Amino acid sequence: MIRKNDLSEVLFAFVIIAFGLFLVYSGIDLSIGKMSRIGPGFLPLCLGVVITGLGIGILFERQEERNFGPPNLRGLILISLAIGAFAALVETTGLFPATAALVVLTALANNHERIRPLTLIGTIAGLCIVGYLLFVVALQLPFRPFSPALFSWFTGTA
Amino acid sequence: MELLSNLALGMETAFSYDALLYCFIGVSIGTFVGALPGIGPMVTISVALPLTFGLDPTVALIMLAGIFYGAQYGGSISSILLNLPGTASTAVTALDGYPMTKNGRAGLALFINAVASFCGSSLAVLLVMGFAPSIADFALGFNSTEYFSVMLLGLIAACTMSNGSTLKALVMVAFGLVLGIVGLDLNSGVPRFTFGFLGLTEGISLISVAMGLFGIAEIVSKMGESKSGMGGPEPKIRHVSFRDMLPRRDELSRLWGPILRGTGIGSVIGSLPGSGPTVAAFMAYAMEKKVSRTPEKFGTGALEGVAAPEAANNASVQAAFIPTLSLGIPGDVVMAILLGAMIMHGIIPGPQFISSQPAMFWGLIVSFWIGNVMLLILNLPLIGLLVKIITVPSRILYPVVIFFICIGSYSVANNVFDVFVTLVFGLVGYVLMRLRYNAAPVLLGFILGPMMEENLRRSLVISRGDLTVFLDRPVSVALLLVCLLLLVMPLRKQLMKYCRSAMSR
Repeated sequence: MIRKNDLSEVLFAFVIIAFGLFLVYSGIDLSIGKMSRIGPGFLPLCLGVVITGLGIGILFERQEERNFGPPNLRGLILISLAIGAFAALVETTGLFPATAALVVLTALANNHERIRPLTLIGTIAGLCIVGYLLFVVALQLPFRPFSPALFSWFTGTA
Repeated sequence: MELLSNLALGMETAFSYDALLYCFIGVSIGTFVGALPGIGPMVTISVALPLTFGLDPTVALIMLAGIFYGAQYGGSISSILLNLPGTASTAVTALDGYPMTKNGRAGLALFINAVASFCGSSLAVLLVMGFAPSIADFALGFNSTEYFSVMLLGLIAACTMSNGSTLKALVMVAFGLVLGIVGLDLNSGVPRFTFGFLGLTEGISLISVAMGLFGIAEIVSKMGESKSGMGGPEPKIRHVSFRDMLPRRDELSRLWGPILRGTGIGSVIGSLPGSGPTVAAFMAYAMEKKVSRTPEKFGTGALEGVAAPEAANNASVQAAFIPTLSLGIPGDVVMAILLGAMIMHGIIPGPQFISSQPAMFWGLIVSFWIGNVMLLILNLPLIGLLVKIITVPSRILYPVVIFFICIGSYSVANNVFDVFVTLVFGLVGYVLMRLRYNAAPVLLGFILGPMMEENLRRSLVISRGDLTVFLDRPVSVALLLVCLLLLVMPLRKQLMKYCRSAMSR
């Protein structure tokens, strides 16, 4: 009846052990100090030892059966792109283009619910307005709807 | 008499214009967002946290707390009407609430939900008033060793009482403690684990950790689920009129027992560290089934099956404020976020909180009552609107949530770097979720980590490096013994299981 653990579980246990050993190493590197005056590396060292031990424990622990489907790689990649695009664009081109990129990429990530173009545009417009009123007008975040750099890029007067 | 003057102080704070307004905004956001299927109080509160940065700390806390119990409440609505619980704790409500909807008694189920939640919360608030100050008084005598032990107990209890593998939960707590270390070490001025990133010298922001691990990871995983899981069943309720909601007199009289028992269970469970509303709701349901003369009715739309777990989970939500406010030890993740919010607003949580910030503490307590009354008033007539909101399709919902997550993480320090940090935690969170590592303990470790290190350092300085200092004070010894017991018990259970299977072979 003893079932072999999933490969990914085993691999992850090794990741945990490696992480623990890294902590032990960096704890020593940061200086442990004396017991009466613990240095910045004392807690990392302790945690490293604990995590390594727990990792070894998990390696030998029997895992329950998993019942999910395959990992949602498409969603993961597209959501990462959506957030990355927002982060890259919000200060360079302004809040509105960044919001548009985020909404389009997130909508693409959702592979079993197609979104109609009109709904997409409506969502973008709505979020731009709410975002502008709530975060720029009310909460004073330093965003511009469109950055001036964007205009100069269009008109070629950079 | 002291209680009365304290209450007066609380009322003065909680009935101020700002406090009332933000309490109202808080419970409304909480109910509406909490009612969205799949969006629990965790995500709601971390998304709303940046909105409170500009507010006065007291008002900010009142609003955040309002979001929290509002979301708890809203979550039950989607459980009852759509069988789509927003959180695990309201999943229990769906067991009998959804059958009631199918029997055409949705209105009554919602009414019971509202009344049971209200009773559970209001009664549990009394306990907070009674116990939190006296526990804090007792804890004022704690020195650093006892404080360290209390926090250790808080962390270990959270791990061993959650379901799933204890080892995995412990790894997650340790991981959270490591995350708390990141940044400039205040004592030596050495940067730790910043890997040369300037954005990490001040430490990782709580918002990034919370929204990444819970918000992003949750959305990615929901998107990956098969279609049947989401937005699936069309709601059968077209219109719920006020008259549908009122129970018959014999039904009303059947509700008191379950509500009171649920409140009792919820209050006790909620005030223990590490066991939140989910455990409370399950226990209350099981208890009700046991005492019922007609246990076979449970699962087919028994009134008691809605009333007891609802009273329990709302009572436990309020009772969870006892350890959070009196000791600075969060009972569960949401409390950890609230504690983090306090720290962000410059309030030091711990036993001195109640005595040093009486207006804030009592104002918060009184606002619980106000908030619960608002919920009751808000919910009964607005059910129709809520039903509409619940059925917002995920294709619109997800971009909106991701947008708020991005802007929220940016707003912490007006820095794009934090948005990328949030993304990294989103990826980590998804991997953890896939491998069934519960990410909740990460947050507890993250919040308590810096405080624990400071107390450990202080204890060791006082004792000149002698570790036995933790065994010198009786309270500390007792707390450490409980820790040990909690760690050994699950181990013993597994050993027994192993022995039994070995014997039967």
